Amino acid sequence: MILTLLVNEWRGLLRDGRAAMLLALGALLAVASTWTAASTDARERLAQVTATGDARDAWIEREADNPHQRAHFGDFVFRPSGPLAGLDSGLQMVTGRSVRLEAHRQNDAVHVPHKEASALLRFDRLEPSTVLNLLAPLVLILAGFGTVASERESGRLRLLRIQGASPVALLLAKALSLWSIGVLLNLLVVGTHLFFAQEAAAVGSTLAYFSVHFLALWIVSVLVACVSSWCRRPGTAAGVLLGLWVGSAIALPRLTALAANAAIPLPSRDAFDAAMQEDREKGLDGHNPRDVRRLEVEESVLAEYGVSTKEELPVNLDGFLMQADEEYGNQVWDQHFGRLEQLLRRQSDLVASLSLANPLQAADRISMSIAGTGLDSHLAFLNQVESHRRTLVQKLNDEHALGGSKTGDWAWKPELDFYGSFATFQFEPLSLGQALARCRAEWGALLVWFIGLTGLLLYSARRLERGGSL
Amino acid sequence: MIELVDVVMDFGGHRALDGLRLSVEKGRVYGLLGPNGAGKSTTINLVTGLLQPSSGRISVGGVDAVASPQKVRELLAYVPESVALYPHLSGIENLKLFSRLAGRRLDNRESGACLERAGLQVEAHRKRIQSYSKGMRQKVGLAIALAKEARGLVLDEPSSGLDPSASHELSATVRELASRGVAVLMATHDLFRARETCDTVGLLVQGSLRAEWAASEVKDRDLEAAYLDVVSAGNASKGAPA
Repeated sequence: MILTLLVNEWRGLLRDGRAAMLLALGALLAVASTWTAASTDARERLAQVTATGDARDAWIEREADNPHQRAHFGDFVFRPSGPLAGLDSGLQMVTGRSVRLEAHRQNDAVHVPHKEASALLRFDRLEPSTVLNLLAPLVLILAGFGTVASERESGRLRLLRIQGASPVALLLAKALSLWSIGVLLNLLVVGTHLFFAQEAAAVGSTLAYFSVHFLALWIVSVLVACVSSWCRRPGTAAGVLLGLWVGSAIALPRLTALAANAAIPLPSRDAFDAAMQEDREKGLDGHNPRDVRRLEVEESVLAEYGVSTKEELPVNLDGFLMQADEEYGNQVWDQHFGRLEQLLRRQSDLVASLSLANPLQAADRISMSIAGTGLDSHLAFLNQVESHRRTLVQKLNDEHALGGSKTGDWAWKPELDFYGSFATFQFEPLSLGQALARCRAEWGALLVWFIGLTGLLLYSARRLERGGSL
Repeated sequence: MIELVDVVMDFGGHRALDGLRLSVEKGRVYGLLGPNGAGKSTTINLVTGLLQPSSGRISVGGVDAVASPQKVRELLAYVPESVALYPHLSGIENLKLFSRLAGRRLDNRESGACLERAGLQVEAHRKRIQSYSKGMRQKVGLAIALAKEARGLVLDEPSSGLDPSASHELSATVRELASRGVAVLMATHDLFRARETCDTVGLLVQGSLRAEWAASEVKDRDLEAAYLDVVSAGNASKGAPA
């Protein structure tokens, strides 16, 4: 019986000019957004490969210089796009994807697409995740707000019931037919992405991305069918559903962000930098011979080499001092950035809990996480960059200290091939398992919605059985 | 076949049916007459199991309509005042769809025969419903009821909006079904059609059955005068102006 009703629904969608146009528009948006996102992704990858090569060439081909000069000349590292980043750019639009590494300071990630976008670009670019998470639910609402209400209004529901259509079968068929539109859009997005993608994604990640939208769109489909069954008029159902869409797609995400910021405020960038600076100044400054901690390091090195003056040292004391300063600076960073990271994670956890009220937001966060463009992925990038920066600076300071120069010899230069021995930065993205595990609350929210709406569907069917068909 | 015993139906504070008793035997046509708001459609909804009575007993073919509404619906076919079909389907596609829901798979030949029997011209069978007149839609509705081959037929104002010729065809089809043993309950405003089609006519006023005449008796009386007498008396007894 469900199949009979489902086939009839499909036939209605295809033969109804408005529904067919809506479907065609949705499909066009799905394909166009995925194709443009894949093109943008390809362009960005190419630019990144070129920039990475240029940075490496500049590092190696630069005239041999003093390690400390080189530490200030610095290096650039880039965050590569994951294979699914074209589907969901997530936070990459606001977080930046390249960092300049240098001694003494941890720089911000730069090249933020939002900051670099044309001032004429009033709206965000349309990307596949927006189509699946925001527009597809709207398409389902527009295609299905009258799916049961119009049956009732026309009197067809009564005839269907007397002919033997069970309310559960009827509602399931309605929800399934709407869902099939969502599944089609989902398939178009993933299929187009696989066709145009520069890098083949792992089967597991692609399936996980497909599944989260698969589940979210089922939740939307059941909700549309149930609301339509509760409203006596299709217009009422349309009003209720559009209100829910505005709430979950526009209002709730902003409200949850505001609530998270109010509950767990973050320091401004200026305040963060000022606090860092203050703590660093309290400590050892490698360039300041009067600093107390500099004396401690100096005494310790002199004692280690069994000499009484720095001129007698067989090594370069400046290298030791700079490394000690670096390590103190690292401690300050770890403390400040650690606190900031903790605040960011608490904010993120709060938003994850609040997404229980909004399945679209839960799906959006899982989608970002699977695409490797969420907060966890960005924090993993920043932490790996900092770790790489520390290795790089330590190697330069060690060469300055132990490479053969003496204290105060700022003109000393190591062999040219020393600079060729530095490893390039390799970003290690989170695995699919890690990405999924960090979205437990969001998966829980989707599961709760799935179970809740299954219950609502059964209750709505019961309501139809007990007189709601009239 | 169709039996209502002391049926009361309340909607909030309003009593729509007040101790209704009626029965329709196999092979008989029962016409339920009454003014607007008398409770005719409520009676139809109760018999088809779409509503549950506040009290009383309703059975169809011995099956309790309250306990087993789905089973009752299997025994009944239904033609509403305005048959609502799927506008994106043709007459024959609608017939096949609704028959399939009732558990019957009709091929093109059987579907065509059903539609013809209901009086729909062959050239209309494959046209989309959106191009049909009301009378044509009623004929498809009747074909759906015929195809179900149910033991009972319930009609709610079936001739409303039909031209005299279509109404006459409808009466003929209903009589033919009754002659095959189908019990027919027909709610109508159409006194002429009721006298033409029914074996028994009941007059429902303000939720109560105020009069019931056998067909032969009806044919000997001026039904319209009797109808007005009973309705006026019913209204007066409730304090309303006659």
